[in-house]
Amino acid sequence: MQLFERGGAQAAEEALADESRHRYLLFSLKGETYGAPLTTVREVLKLGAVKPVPYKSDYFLGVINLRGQIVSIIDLGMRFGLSREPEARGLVIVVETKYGVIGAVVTDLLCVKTIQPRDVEKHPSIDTQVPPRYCLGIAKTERGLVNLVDASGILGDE
Amino acid sequence: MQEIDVELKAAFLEDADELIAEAEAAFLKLDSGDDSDETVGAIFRLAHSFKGSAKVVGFNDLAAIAHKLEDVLSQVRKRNLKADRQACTVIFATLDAIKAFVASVRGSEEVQPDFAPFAARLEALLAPQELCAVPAPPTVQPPKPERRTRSTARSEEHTIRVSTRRLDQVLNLVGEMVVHQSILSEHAARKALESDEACQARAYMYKLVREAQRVAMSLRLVPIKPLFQKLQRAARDVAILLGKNVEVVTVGEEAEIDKTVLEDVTDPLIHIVRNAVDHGIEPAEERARAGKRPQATVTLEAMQQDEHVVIKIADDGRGLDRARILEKAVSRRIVAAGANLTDREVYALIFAPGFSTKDDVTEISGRGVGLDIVERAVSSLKGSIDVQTKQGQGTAFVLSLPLSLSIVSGMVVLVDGRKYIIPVSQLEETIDLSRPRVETVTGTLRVINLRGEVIPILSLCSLLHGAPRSRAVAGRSEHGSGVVVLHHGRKVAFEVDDIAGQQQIVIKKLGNELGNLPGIVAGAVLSTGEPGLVLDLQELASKETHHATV
Repeated sequence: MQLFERGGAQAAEEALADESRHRYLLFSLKGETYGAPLTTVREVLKLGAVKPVPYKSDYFLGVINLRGQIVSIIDLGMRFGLSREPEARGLVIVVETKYGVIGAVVTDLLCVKTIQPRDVEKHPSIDTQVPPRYCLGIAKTERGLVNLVDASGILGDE
Repeated sequence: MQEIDVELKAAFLEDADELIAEAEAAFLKLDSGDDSDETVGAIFRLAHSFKGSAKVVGFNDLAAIAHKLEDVLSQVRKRNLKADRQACTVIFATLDAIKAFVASVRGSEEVQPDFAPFAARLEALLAPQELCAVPAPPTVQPPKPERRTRSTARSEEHTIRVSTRRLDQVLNLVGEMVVHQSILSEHAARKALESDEACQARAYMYKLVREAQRVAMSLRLVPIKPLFQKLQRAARDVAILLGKNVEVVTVGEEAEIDKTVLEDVTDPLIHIVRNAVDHGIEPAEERARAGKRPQATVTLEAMQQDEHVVIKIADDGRGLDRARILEKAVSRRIVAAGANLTDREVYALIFAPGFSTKDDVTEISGRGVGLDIVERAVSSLKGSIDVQTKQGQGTAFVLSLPLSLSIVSGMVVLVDGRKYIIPVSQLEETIDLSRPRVETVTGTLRVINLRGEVIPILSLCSLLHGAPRSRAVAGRSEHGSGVVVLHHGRKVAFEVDDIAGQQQIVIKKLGNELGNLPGIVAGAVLSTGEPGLVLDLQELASKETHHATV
C-alpha cells in the first residue's frame, strides 16, 4: 500500500515537473512575441537605474544591485538587433542560467503559457531575428508565432 | 548504492585530511627527537584509524600501506626500532604517497600512486639490522607544487569546517533579528516608530547586525596551524636534502586567517621557506667560521594586527648580499648600472620579475618560480610583502595579509560622473591635481612634481571610458584629484574628478560575463544602495605602462 502511494505521489510529481517544463513566460519585444522557459525565470523587476560598465557593448546596459547581488542587465531588443535604442520603460526578466544570473530588458510581459513540444518547430526555415544558437524553436500558438529563446545562451556568449 | 558510495567517499576525504594533518604534526615531533610513548602512541592510533576508514570505503591498497605503517610504528613503540632520520624519512615519503592517493580520490591528481615501493621501504625498516644496508636509502621526493589544481579548484564547491559554537551564535543572532524586525514592523504599522520601544528595538537591531556581520565573517576564518605544519615539513625536507641542521620554531600558530587567503598563500610561503633553508642558511662550515650555533633556526611567526594577519618567516642565515643583488639586477637589466639605490630599494629588487631566472633552478627552490610570483600572489590578495635583512645575521620575510577578503575599506571616486571604488589598501596617498602643479611633457604625457619626485598622471576616464572627459565635467575638473599608487616601486597618479568619500564595502563577485574587464575586479554595493565597480589600479597601471613601452 505504502509503495503504491509513494509511486502515485512520484508520478504526480513527475507529471507536474513535466508540465512546468512546457510552461513559458511570453513577453513582447518591440512588438514581437517571445517566450522563455518559465523554469529559468527567477523574477521580474521594473527597470530602474542601471550602472554602466566600461568596455562593454551598447546592449549591455550595466549592473544593478538585486538584494545584495550584482546582476548584469542587457537589452534584449538591442541584442537581437530589433532596435538601436535601449528600452526606456521596460521590465527586467531575471533569468537563472548555468553561467549565472542575468537580467534581460523586454518591452512588456504578456502571460505564462503551456506550449506542448508538438507545437514547437525546432529548426524553423523562417528567418528570425534571434541568432540560431539562442533559439529553442518557434511555437505556433493562438497568439501567432512565438520565438522561444534560451537566455542562458546569451549569457554564455558574454 | 551509488549515493552511499559517494557519501562515504566524501566522509573519508574529510577524515583523511584531518588524519593526515594530525599525523604530519606528530611525525614532525617524532622527527625532532620526541619519541615518547605519547607521541608514538598517537601516530600509531592515527595509522590505525586511517586503515579503518580506508577499508570501509574499499581502498584496499591504502589500507594495506597504512597497515605496514602501523607495523613499523608498533616496532618503534616497542623500542625495537629507532625512529632515526632514515626511518622518519621513509615514513614521511609514505605519508606523501598517501596524500597523493587522497588527492587522486578527490580528482585533483590524475595518477594514483603505486604503494609498492613504499611498502618495500617500510618492510626494509622492519628487516633485521644487517639487511638494512641493502636497500638504497630512499630519496625525499620534493612535494609537487599544488599550483596545477588551483584553477579548477576555484570553480568547485568549497566546504569549510565550522565549530557548532559559531553556528549557534549565528542562529541566535538571526533569531534575535527576526524578533526585533517584527517589533519594528508592528510599530511601523501602528505608525509608532518614534516610540521609546521602537527606538530601543532599532538601536538593538543596529548592534545585532554588527555582531552578526562579525560572527558571519569569522565563519570563513581557519586556524593558521596546518599551514605552519606544511611549512615546517617543507623546511625539514629541504634541510635533509641539503644535509643542513635546521630547527623550525613556530610562534602564534593559533592565529586565524580567511580560508581563501590561507589557500592562496600556502605555495608562496612554502617557496619562501625553501628559499630560507636553501639560500638563507649557510652550510655548517660557514656557520662555524662565523661563530654561529651549528643548528640553524627558521622562525615562523603569525600575529593579528587590526584587520591584518602578519606572517613572518625569519632565518638566522647569512642575510641578503646587497652587492650581489645589485650586480645581478644590473646584469639582468632590471636596473641601470650605476643607479643610486637605497638599501630598501635594492632588497626590493629580489621581487622584480625576471630577477631569478631559469639558470638558477635548483631542485629545491628553483623550479623557475621566482619571488616575483610570490609577490604577485600576495598583492592579488591585497596583502604586502617586505624583506628585512642584516648581513651575517639573517633574513626575514614579512607578509601582511588581510584578515578577510570580503570586506575592505574603499574610497569612492567620481570619474566622468560615474562612481568607482578603489580599495584603500592600494593607495599611497591622494593629491591635488589643480592646474599650476601639473605640467605636460612630450606633448601628451602629464606629470606632477610631488615633493621633488616627478610622477606620471594617468587619466582614469580615458582608461575606463576610452575617451577624455565630457566637457560638462571637464570644466569643473580644474581642481581634479589624483590617487597615487605604487606600481613596481614607482609612483603613479590616477586622475579622478572627485573623491566622494570612504566606506567599508562588501566585495561581491561579478558574473563570468564581467570577468575579464581590465582593471575591474569586483562589484560592491555603495552606501546609497546603488551598485559600484571595484577597480584594481595596479592592473590598470600595468596595462598603461605596457602600452607605453610597446
